[in-house]
Amino acid sequence: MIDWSELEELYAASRSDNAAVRTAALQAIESNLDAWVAEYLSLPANCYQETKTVGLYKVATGQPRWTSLPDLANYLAGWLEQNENEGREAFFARTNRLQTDRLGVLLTHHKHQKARDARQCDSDFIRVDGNTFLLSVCWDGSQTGNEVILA
Amino acid sequence: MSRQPRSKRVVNLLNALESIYSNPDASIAERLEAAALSAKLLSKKKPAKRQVKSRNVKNALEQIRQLQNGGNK
Repeated sequence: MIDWSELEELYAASRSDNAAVRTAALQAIESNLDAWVAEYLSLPANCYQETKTVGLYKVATGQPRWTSLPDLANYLAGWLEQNENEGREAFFARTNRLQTDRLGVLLTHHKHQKARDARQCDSDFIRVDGNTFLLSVCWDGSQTGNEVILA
Repeated sequence: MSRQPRSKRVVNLLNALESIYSNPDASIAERLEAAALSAKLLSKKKPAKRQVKSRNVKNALEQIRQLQNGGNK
């Protein structure tokens, strides 16, 4: 079972200024990430709950919703909000950074999913590491939602 | 032939050794060797279940905490 507090601690250590701490954290992440991803993608919350047709595809109950980490990263990046006064290039660069930060994708998606469950309306959002993620499709762009703060 | 699990291979081997040991036509040396091998096999511990991954993370976190504490002193 994934221990999220351990992963958070490792993630923080992987961005430490201390090179020895950073190296130890990155080694631990590198040797375990595949197992974490496999476990995370197969969690019931990340699998289809019913057999149905999504667009052109038929999906079965229990089938993982995301097939790989890049697939998950791509989904997560889809919810990333462009900041005010942020240029298109800067936004694309930020999106790329998000998608290549592998453990970050796992942690952020986990938070995003929890926030989605806790949202009051479709225009609510969550902020993770300076990035704003929408929690649902908001058809009325003028409506301003509330930030969901996770415990 | 497909590879059998370790426990099954050990049981087969022990049965073979038992038949040598209890074979009245076998020499004393052969029977003693079979008995010694059986004892050796039975005394071997079953390999512990691998929990390398989680232990690695815990070890790494312990190491990281020590490094951080060392750096803060």
